[in-house]
Amino acid sequence: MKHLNGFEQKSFEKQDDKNRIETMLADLNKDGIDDVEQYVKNIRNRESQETQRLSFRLKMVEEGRFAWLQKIAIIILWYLLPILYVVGEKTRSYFRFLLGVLAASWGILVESASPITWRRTVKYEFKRSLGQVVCGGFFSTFFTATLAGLAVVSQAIFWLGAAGLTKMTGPILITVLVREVAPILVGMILLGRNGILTVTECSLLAMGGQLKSLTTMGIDPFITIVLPRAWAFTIGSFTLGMIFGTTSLFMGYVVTYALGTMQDSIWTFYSNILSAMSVADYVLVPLKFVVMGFMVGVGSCITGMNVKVDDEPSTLLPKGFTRGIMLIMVVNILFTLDF
Amino acid sequence: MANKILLEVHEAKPSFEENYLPPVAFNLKVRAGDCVIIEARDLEVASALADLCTGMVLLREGSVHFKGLDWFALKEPRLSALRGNIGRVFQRNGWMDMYSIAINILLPSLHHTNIDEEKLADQAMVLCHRFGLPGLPMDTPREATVIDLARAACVRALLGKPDLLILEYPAEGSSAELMSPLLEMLNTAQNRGVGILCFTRQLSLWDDYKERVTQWMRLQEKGLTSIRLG
Repeated sequence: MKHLNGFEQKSFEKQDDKNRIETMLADLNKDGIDDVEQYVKNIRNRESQETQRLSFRLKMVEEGRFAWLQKIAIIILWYLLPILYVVGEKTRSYFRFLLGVLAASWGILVESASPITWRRTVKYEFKRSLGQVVCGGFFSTFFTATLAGLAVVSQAIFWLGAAGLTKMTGPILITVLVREVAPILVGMILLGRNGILTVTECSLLAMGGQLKSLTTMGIDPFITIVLPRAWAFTIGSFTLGMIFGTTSLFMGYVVTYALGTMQDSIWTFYSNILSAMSVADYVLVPLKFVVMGFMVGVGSCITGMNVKVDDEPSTLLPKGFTRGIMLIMVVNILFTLDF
Repeated sequence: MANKILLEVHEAKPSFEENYLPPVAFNLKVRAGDCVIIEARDLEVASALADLCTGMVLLREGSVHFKGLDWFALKEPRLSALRGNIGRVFQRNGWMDMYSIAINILLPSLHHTNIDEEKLADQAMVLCHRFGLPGLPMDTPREATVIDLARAACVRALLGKPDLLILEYPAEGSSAELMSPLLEMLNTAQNRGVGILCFTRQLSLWDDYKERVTQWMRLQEKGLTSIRLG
């Protein structure tokens, strides 16, 4: 076997470098850069201008008592800026989704106010999505509410009765179940049953090129897909929330009545619950469901439509789920803290 | 009406961000009643040129006008409304799997017009029969055969009486029985003053329609060039 000596190896390496450079230049030509030499010269000029800027800025500092301090600050900032850029970029990327959801939410509210938005295609998609959300989530909500009624409501009634705090049953059930537990559970059902489906559908449309085809046909995907789904999730969340609240309280009552812990009639029980609700509860509890449903709907659509080329179901679906959970918790915490 | 320019691409050089078009200037004029056949062997480049004609590709230089309006001077919702006047057959990615083929066919007309839904469905049925479909297909695009999708694509493009038809390989890969109704419908459309821009891989497929074709062109790396058939 013939081996290359050192000299021949170096000439081969030089040839490799030359071929590599020629390939790079040919690629630049393909991108429409006609005068490659001028292009390379422009890059070199720009690079030399960048290095000159620091010395230029140091020269511009006026002589004085604190000139040395100013120069040190300029040098530190000069080298710190790339680090700050990286940190800022990472921070912005984490907040990008939240900011995107807020921007899309505003867009939906503005567009929804215009009558020309509600075309037949938008209404069709709205009806279809609403049917999916409510009918698809009904049984899950019913069973979850039954379990919540058995676990939370019946236990609360039993132990409060045992402690002689029967009068506290209404306020505690309102505070714990209706205000806090119900929105989170309904949000998770909504996210699991319909949010993930929306993420999948939207990502398939985005990756398959159908969104672009829709735009080519003059059909705005934001108006036709995101807007109606957001409103379907909003109304669906409210509906499922009401079903959850009523069912869980009813089931809790049935269990405690069967066990003999509760002697009141169902109407007296409900009346006690309702009298424990303040005026603010009548507004804030439904509002919480509405806002949460809206955010889950918008978040799912945005996650699906912003799919990247290297995203797969194993990365996209967990991303959609965690983002949805984050939105549910943000909405719940904001309502809890502010009200 | 015969002289009215429907589509004018004037010295349009596409920006080199994410598109398959070569960085050369494109020139194209499609008048009312014209039929332009473009031979393009590269499917991606043909799709990209079709996108350029509908104002979907950013330009470095030049302009693209449709019905006298510059695509890039318009904003929503006028932009979308203008695109609604174009009937297009996509060579791929033209079907939404979450809807049935019937809804896919009716979608553009339902979106852009106020024509009664039943009337639209009747018009679509007539076109479906012309193209050999028994009726409006209710299955999803995934369940349909390639030839049925090709037929449905032609129905969708022709529904709603568009002013310009952009057809990407409408009959290639399908059986010859699609070509005959397609040529018949294109003839009717041309008589009505519709402009037709059609991409094909085989110019010979259009032999029966030679007399009605007003321009023959070829799309290559150096751009769009006119050709003369012998």
